[in-house]
Amino acid sequence: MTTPGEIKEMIEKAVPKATAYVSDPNNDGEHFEAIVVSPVFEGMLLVKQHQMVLNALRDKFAGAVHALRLKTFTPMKWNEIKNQFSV
Amino acid sequence: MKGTADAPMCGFSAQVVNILKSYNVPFAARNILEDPELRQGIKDFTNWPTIPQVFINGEFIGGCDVTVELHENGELKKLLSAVK
Repeated sequence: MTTPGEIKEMIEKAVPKATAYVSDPNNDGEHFEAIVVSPVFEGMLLVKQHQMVLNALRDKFAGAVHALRLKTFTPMKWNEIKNQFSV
Repeated sequence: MKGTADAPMCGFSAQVVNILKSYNVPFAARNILEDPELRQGIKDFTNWPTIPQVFINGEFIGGCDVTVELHENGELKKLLSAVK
């Protein structure tokens, strides 16, 4: 079964200087949630940010992982709003 | 999407349909569960590994989370204003 740790590692390997906070809220190994923070997102279209993260998990989506609920932030934006999240 | 606009088969597809319906714009849905070729083909075409996928006037917009965020920040309204 896929673990949040595995997803975190794959994202952080694919997205430069990323920090990923990954959880498996239903504990099913299929529906994950992630917040990904990286300076490379600065000035990048939202769809491109998500594309970069999702494609890091392409092999997982071809298998048992069904979905990743995703939010992406630049470090500056993340510092402003991180108090709203329980990570 | 997974399922049809009237009977979505996945929560993410349902969420996208609900957002689009709230704008009263015409839209069409394709059910990838009934078309394995489309299911893989659309992922290759957009370089996007998950379903649903949203297109406005032929342009790829994103998946569920991108659509939700554009809905919340007002961008989606602008994009859809070009749809007749």
